[in-house]
Amino acid sequence: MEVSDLLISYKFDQNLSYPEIVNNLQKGDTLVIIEDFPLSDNDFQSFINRIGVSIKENRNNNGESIFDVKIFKQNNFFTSIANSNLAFPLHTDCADLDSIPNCIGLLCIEPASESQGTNNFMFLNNLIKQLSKNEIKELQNKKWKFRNHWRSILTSVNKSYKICYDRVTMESFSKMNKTEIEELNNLDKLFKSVSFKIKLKKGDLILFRNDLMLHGRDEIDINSNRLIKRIRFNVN
Amino acid sequence: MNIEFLTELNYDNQEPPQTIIIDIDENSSIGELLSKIHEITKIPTYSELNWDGNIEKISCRYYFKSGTEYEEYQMIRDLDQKICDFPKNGVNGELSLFIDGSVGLVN
Ligand SMILES: [Fe+2]
Repeated sequence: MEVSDLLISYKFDQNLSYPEIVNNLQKGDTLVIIEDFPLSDNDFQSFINRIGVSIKENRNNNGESIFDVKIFKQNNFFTSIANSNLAFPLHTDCADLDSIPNCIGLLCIEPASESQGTNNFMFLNNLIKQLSKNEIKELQNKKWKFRNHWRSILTSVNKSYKICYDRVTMESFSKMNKTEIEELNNLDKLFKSVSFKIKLKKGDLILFRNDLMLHGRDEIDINSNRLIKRIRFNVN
Repeated sequence: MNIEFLTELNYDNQEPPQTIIIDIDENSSIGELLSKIHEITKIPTYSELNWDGNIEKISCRYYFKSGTEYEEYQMIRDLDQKICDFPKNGVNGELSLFIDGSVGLVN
């Protein structure tokens, strides 16, 4: 499948239809990308306000809804994996929260050079096609510990599936046996095999479902000025 | 100076903040103050994440109470900023900090 089949592209200030964007996110089988998006926090926030309800967090800019994904250290250590230069394997955001936001918007302010920091995405639809009925059942039955929550990787809601996966959270907060580690290794491989890459350009805003796909990113040079602004939000 | 601090922010069941007295000039940096708090309280400055054979130390995040509502905290991004630049919104008008050492929300 071509990556272009999985993308719905718009240009900011041209043919932007908010109901259409919301509809695409509700269906969740494509990514929405808006090129030439203004690079200000204000424009980003007001845009998201028109399509959903954004999530506030203390660590965001001014304690509001925008988080700067950039390399950042304190005490000589990164303040999160998002704030590191490390590759981030395919995952769900906020997999350890009580309620997991269903959408994410990433606005590229400054891309990393060449192919660094390229985003990776995997649609749950494409994963399901690769799985047998038994494998699906197993992913629905087995509970994993996501810090304070026991959750299965797949859940079925109204005859459709949702995914929750974040290996960093799962492995960091629980003791796993060899078989489980192997299971995760196999899952990572499988996810990767059905994933695809998108390198965001300056001014690209990408919107996608957090519960119907996984996302990740490639490694970045430690001195890179890469800056991606992120808003997590819910569409109904 | 008196410092009020929390190590966990729990909207449902908030523990009352601790108070600590630190001997420091308010023209010093907030980073110096935080190092002293770490020294006295033994709160580690980092915690570890591990996945797929990787181990990564992740720093504590620091927040100051930016308003009077109990959940109003904002991140301290510049540890060189002077202590006196921060608002004093503790219960008794002291500087109120939240030291987040949990590595919840890895992303
Ligand atoms: Fe993420």
